[in-house]
Amino acid sequence: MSSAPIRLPIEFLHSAFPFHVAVDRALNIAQVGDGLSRRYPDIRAGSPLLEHFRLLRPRSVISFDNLSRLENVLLVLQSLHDPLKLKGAISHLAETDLLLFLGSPWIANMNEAEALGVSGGDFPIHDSAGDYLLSLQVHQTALQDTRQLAEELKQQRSRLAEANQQLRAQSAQLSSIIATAVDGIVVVDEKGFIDIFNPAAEAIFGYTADEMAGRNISTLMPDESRSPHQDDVKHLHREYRKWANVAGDAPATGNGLKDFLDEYGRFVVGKGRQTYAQRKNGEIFPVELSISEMDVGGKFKFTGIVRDITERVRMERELSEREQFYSHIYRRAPIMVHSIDNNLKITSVNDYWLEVHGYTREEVVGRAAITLLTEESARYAAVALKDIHLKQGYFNDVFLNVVRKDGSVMETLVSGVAERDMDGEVTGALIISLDVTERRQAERALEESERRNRRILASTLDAVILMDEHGRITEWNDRAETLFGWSRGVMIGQRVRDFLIPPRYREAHAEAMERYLKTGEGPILNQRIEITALKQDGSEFPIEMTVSPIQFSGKTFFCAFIQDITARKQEVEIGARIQQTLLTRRPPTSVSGLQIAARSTASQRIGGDYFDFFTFGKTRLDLVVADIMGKGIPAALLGAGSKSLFQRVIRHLSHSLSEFGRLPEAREIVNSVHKLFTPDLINLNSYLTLCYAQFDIEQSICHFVDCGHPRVIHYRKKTEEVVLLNGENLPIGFSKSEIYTQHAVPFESGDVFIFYSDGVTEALSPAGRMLGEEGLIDIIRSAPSFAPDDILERLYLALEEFTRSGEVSDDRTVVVVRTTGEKRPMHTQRRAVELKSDLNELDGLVDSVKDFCVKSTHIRNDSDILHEVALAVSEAFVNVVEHAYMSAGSQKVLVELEISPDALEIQMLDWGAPFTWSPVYEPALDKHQEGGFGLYIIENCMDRVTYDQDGVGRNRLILVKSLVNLLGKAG
Amino acid sequence: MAYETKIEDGVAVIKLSGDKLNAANSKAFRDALLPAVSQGGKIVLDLQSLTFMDSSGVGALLACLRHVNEQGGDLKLCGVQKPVKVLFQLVRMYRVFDIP
Repeated sequence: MSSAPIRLPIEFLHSAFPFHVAVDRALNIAQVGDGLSRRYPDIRAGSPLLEHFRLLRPRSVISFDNLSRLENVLLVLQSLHDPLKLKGAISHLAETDLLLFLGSPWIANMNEAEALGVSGGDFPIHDSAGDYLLSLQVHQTALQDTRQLAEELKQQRSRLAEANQQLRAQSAQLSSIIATAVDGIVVVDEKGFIDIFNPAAEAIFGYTADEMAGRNISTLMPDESRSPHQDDVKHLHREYRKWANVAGDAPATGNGLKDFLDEYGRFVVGKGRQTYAQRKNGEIFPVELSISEMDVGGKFKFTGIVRDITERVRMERELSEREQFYSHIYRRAPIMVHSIDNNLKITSVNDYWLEVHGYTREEVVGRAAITLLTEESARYAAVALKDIHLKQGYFNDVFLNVVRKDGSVMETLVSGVAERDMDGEVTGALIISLDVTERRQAERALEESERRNRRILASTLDAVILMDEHGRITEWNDRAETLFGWSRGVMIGQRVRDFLIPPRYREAHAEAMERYLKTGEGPILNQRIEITALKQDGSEFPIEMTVSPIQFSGKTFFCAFIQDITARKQEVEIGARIQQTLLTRRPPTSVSGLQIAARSTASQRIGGDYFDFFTFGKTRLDLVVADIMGKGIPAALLGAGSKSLFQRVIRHLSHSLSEFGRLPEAREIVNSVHKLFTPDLINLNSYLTLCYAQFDIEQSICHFVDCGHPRVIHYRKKTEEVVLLNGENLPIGFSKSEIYTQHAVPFESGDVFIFYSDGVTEALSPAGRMLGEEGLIDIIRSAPSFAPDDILERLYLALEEFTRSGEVSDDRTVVVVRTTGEKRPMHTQRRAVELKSDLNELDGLVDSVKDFCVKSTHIRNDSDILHEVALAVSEAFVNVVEHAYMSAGSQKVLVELEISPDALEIQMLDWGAPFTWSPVYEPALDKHQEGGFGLYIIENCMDRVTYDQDGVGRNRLILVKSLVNLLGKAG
Repeated sequence: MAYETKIEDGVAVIKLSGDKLNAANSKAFRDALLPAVSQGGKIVLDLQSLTFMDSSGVGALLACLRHVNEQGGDLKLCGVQKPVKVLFQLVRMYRVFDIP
């Protein structure tokens, strides 16, 4: 370019090339454009180019020469300070030898320009980048707007979709609501034509939706309201037109109609109107109707919600009827009802209450309810009424005694319930009372009868215990209380086993109960058993018990009647003693020529065996040995009965036959007893075997009557043979027509007769062998002597040995009689003295006895004997007077004196109190004892003293003074 | 029963006059004699006349003895006849009475 050079003013250069930079050969910056220096304050004249730029294009090392050769080549410099790139061209300014780079920022879009902090002004005005940048700016703005719009659109679209979805859901919901609504939903247009008729409406009215589509709502109305409705609709429309005219234009807009309806349509639109509708079948029924209007796209529809209230109306009617009924009840029913407030004042009462109480309403309303009660009930009521206010809110079945106006007391059963206000606060109570006077009386009567029953139970001699099937006590009477020592209160509910049964029997008891409940077997039930029971103090005692199972209320109970038989056991004990001492009393000794030993043992302490002796003077002894069928007390009672019968018969016959100058014979006595006793025995289903033997000493003959008794053993001393005496009579009590016969057996001195009961011959050895008659005879033969006592002793020992047991399984009685051959002594003298039971008789008695003795050749005047006899007789008589007759002075005392060469015998007889002739001890003589020597003196003065009761109940004291020694002494 | 009392050397000698002392009269005897012996002192009962006595007589004598002893006195018996002595021996009266 050799044409004239253009010189550019520097200002122009700056404005034309804000991004130019000129460097010298050393590549130091000589000049820099405003744009660059503004952007990079470090780029200034003098600083090395290489500190600020590197050559991006073309790829070459920056040097002066290199750059010089790059004229007309697009250079791109990269700032070393930031991402800015400069594009441009380089020229060599030969004149100043500078390289000039004319460049501008190289940017692709506006964002880049912004980021780089360049603006349009930074470009040279000729640079297309400026236009580009502008168009870029415009484009970007449009793009931005579009993007924004698109975004909005997108959002709107999604909102729309959402809305549509909601709408669809709502619509579905709505339709499902409409479809499933319990209430009928009917939508009509403004003329009343039906749009929607839901399934509930179908059900209510009986039309289908299809049937109703397009039909008028008046179809659903009863005839009588159809035309009024149509009139109404017409009227409404007229009014609307009128209203619309008045209101000006736009008659069909929603707001306009709404306003109209607001003004006129209140009678159309509204909730919960009750009216009547008609079903398809013509039935008219009550409905509750709610009507609302709605605006659908400028059209007006009315929605009717219809509820069939037939049921409700019916219920309401019923309720109202019931209310009437209740109110009637309240007023008239025979239940007393009254209400009270919180101050217990009566606020209302029903008629019946007034009628029963005898008050008028005015008299009681406002009065405190409690003042109508008896004092005790008032206290009680106050407590019950507390419950109204406290936890419960009611009280039930409280018995209160009410005082009527006339003063009479009525028993009432009262229940109450709290009355509350809306907030649940108690405002008072409704009280219902029943007159239970009669019922209570009946209950009391029942209680009374129960008490009576219990009293009966209580007064029974038996303890009565009722227990259930678990053995628990359900009834326990007074007697049980006294018997066991446990109170009723303690024992009810307790187990019998734990309290009444000794521990060792408890298991058996439990088993027995279980067995009975399982099998119905109860071996001890319904019969009298004797067992041992436990008392409260732990002691055991014998009881007799009968247990019976009883069924009631479908359950098994056991009823036990229990008696304490301790006393009975004691009675048995006493009975046994009596039998031993009195019933089987000591054999008489008064008959000479006979030695007797007798013993009776009973298996149950009291036996059915007995023996008895009857003496007739000095020369005859009768004996009876009997065995009553059975054992124990019944047998003993029959024994006692037969025994007394024998005594009575003998006495009677003796008296009667004395006219004939003789004594009764054995057979006469037995036949009499038989005649009198057999009918009774037949009735009692019993009998007795016996042997009645009569020993006549004078004649040496034994007459015996056998009544089915074991054969009497007769040992004949002379021949040493044993004879069994046979009889042929039946036992007494077998046959009324039996006539008893007797046999006569002569005896000689030393003969022995053995009478016994079958318990002796039927004794069993452990091996089961019976003793038998032969065995008995062997035993008797083995006795050490034939003295009756020896025979008896030997016999009992042998029996014990034979049975190997001290226990007696059967009653055993043995009477051994031995004849001594002794005859009634000759030269016997007798005297009888009769005295009054008065001590004043004492001197006379002693004198009589002395006189009798002195006159006897056997004693004569032996002063020692006389004195001893006198002393004994004196003491004996005083004893009778003071003790037997207890000093009652006018009773009789008989004294029989008999003297033989052998002995002086004095019998003293009285009818006074029996005397226990206890063993006599030597007096414990000290200065305090002043009496009690009598018996001792008697026994010491006489050789033999016996005391018993004779055949006619007299106390008989026999005092014997032996004269044998005296004879010897005399001899 | 009758009796007479003599005082000899400070000793009251009471002499009974009946022949029997038995249940018929022992109570009367006791009633009669108790006042005579109630002063205590030394007393001798003379039983010379008694030919018969029974246990109630013994009792009466014992009652008197106790009475006298309670008053601090002393009672002795004398003139005991054989029949009575036999009785006394029988009931061991010598244990409580001085019997000559």
